[in-house]
Amino acid sequence: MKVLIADDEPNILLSLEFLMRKNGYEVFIARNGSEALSILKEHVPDLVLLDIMMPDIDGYELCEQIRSRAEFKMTKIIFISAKSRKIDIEKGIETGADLYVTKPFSTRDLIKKIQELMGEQTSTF
Amino acid sequence: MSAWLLGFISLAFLGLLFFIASRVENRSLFRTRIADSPYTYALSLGVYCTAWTFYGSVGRAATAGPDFLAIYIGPMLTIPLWWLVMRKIIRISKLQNISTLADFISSRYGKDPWLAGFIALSCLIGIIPYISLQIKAISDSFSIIALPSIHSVSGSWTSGIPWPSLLFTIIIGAFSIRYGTRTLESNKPRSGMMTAIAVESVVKLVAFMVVGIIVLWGLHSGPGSLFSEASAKLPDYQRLVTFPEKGYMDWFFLCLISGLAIFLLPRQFQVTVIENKAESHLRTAMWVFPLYLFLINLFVVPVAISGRLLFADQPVNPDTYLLSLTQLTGWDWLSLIAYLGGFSAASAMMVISSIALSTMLSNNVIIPLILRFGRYTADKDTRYTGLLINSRRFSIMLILFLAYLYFLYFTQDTPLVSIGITSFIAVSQFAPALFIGLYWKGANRVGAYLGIAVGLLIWFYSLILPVLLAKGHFLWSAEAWHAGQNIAPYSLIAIPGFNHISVVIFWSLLLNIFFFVIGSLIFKPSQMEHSQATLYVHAFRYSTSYENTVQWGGTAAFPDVKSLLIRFLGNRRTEDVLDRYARRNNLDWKARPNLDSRAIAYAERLLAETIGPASARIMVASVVKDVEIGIKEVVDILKESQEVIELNKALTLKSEQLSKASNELKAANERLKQYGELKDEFLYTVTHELRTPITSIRAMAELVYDHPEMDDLEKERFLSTIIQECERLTRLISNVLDLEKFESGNMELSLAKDDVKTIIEESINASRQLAETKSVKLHFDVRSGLPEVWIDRDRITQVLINLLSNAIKFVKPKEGEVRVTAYRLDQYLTVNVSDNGPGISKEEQQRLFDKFYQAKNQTRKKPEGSGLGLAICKSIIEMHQGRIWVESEEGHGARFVFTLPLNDAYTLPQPKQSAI
Repeated sequence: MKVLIADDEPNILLSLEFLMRKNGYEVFIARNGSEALSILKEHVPDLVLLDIMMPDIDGYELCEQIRSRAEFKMTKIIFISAKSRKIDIEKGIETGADLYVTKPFSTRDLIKKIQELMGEQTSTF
Repeated sequence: MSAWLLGFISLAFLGLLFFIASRVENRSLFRTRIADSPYTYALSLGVYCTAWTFYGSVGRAATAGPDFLAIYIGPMLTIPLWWLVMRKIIRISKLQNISTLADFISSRYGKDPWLAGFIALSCLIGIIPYISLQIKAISDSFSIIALPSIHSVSGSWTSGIPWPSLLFTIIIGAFSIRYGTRTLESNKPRSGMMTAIAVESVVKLVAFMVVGIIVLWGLHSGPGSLFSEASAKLPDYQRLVTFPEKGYMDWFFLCLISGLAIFLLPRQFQVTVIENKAESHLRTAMWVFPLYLFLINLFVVPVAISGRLLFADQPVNPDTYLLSLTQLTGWDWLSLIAYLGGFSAASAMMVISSIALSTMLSNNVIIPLILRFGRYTADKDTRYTGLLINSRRFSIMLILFLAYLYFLYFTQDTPLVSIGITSFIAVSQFAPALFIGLYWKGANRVGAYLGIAVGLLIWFYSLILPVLLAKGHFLWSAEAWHAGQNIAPYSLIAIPGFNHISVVIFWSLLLNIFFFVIGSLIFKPSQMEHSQATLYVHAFRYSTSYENTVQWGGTAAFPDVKSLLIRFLGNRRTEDVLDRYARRNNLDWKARPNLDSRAIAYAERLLAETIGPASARIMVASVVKDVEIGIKEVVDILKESQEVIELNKALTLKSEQLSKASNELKAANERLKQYGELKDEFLYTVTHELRTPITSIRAMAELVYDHPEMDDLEKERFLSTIIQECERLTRLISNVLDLEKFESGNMELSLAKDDVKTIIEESINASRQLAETKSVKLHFDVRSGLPEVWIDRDRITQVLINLLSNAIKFVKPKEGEVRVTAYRLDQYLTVNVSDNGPGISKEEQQRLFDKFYQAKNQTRKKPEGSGLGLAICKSIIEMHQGRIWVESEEGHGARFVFTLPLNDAYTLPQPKQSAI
């Protein structure tokens, strides 16, 4: 299973990368929107973890692009953002995300939600 | 000096007065500059000083000592009351179109025409002897100067009919007619005449003082030697120069009646009230007039004593000392000056008195008689305009003629002072009716009649009757007033310890007031009286809304009122005034066959200007088809209009205040809303910024905890990141707190004079570590000799470190360069922090210093940082009275600049040194 993680905060990337790796994912990392796009040209991830506020292309736009392309039909998208207002969350779901998780998040909850979403029982160990 | 020459000079002097009066009437410039001056008004009040002052005071001082002064002290004592009482009288007179004293009193008591006529005739009887006194003075002085031989030989200075004085009387009458009856409106100020009167006041004052000075230093060697000579030679010297030990009551009564006379003498009422052009002129008069009285009395006693000394053995009448002394000098011109001074005093009094009395006689006696008994009702087309003027002119001549007759038959041997006092006591009988009526609403017509009648009866009984009974023996001539005491009527009322005059004043005024009050209490006032009483007593309160006063309840046909007005005002003026009223009230007479009560009141006031209020009332009543409305309605209307005005004012004020308040509220609301939005945005942004480090901390802590198998290197990395993120949190929180302090004004700088160069060096050293991790070069470029400035060292360091770390953050690693320069420019110390980074777009430059400027509706993140740093920098620099800005072009680096004022260029917020 492939996961793409896009966030501009290196420390968050670090922890998410560790988390997903431990859960058996093949992890791709993007520090901004354009990096994410270039990765998406070569890989079709099963899951994308998207930050919204990034320096060049923001998360909403990325999400829309992914949803507009047929090859990512099966790809699940989760927003992980510090934007916590109701309006932000609704907008995230409207653009085609499957889940919206607000920062700060618990890695334990997050992985549980990911496992539910991906429909597989993966033991944390 | 020959009689012909003196006669010619007298005529020339009168000609000069004519000339002055006509210049003023014809020249508008002259008129406003001089005639409308408050000093002209104040000087014209000097008409109080008549020939009695000019000659009589000296006579009195030579025989009885300083009690002549009471006549001037009395009026001076009333001066403080003028602003209160005199101004009230003036205000009422102007509002009610009053033109004489008789009008004034009768208007107060319901505009009663009988009362007005009664007062007019009383004044006439009281004043005619007084006018005759002036004729006597002119005649005597003429004889002394022109016919000294007769004078010195016989001691009696008239023989046969004194033709010169008759001629002068006629010319003075002509002057009064020419300049006193120019208009139909008898209450309009007469500028030409008043200027001439003011000139005469100056002439008599100057004349008296010139003569006084020459007598003192020419005939004697100054006041010192005069008085020492007098004390040696005159047996009664002490009595002449000191106030008597006894007889305070006599002084009191003399002061009292002269204090009343200044209000009540018809000529004083004329000059003070009717000829007043502005209430403010009264202020000038209130100091000029007392000063005038003081100056004109300055030389009375020296002249009197000089006369006593130099004419010790000669039968010279003390009343003529002033003139006789000038003759001793042998200088004709000096005698002439003295003569013209006396002539001025006498003629001014005659002019004003004759005008005042003629208006009374005409408006309150002759016209009412003609209207009542003449053909007025029969012939509606009769015009009265000519009659009105002519009756006044006729009255002037009649009065002067009567005065002349009195002079021929009664005045000849009487001392000047006693005639004056007699007149004073007569007019003071109007005092209760006038003054009490001004302040007590209960005073009424019957009381006024009773009081005045009783007072005048006593006056006549004790002062006039003795003269008639024993012609030639009169009060106050030394031996005559003993004779007066023996006359039967007088003994009835005598009081031990009072002299004759005091007794008369005491009884007449006491009984006058008594009957006035009793009459007022017993009888009921009419409605008309009641409403007039209210208007008088509350003159100041109602004066603004007086225009709208209504005292008529019915209506009148327009043609009736118009023909009434035409009869008294003439065609042209009637058209004028009706037009003016129509224009002002925006109405068309043709469309309104009937006049409402307001228009009727207007017509009445117009008529009152011409024929006096009492007659006007009768005339208007003849065309109004209804009853008068009562006092309640009048006062209600007054109150209503006043309340409406006040309410209007209050409402306007309130609505202005309201709209102002609502605008303020709107603005405040807007500010609050903006502030609220900002606050929301700020809070949201702050929490957002807090979330990022907390997210890392939480995630990593959980991962370390959940994954004990994690290798040590990884664990260490996670833990150090956690510590780093905690520091970031702390920084963020302290930044937020700082900013809050700046914004709430709680931030205080601890200022000290400091060297910026060392601060820059320290800041660069502090940033060096950060720069080295990115291999960024730091340059410091400062010219020597930078002045010290008042700054908060820690805060400026904070700014510099913030700018440096921003710069280091944005430049590319390895090739990045950051340069700090500082120099003095004008009154400021300028510090630049420049980099060769990516630069900042124009749009961003504008919002760069806003806190969290990127937050609003932006989803793209700006490079890391709290988002508060530059906002804090801006606050700090602005608290130092400096400026901070950025200059940049995209792709070409950025330069952050801030300035700090040198200490003499601005006032410090919290100076450490107090100013010397």
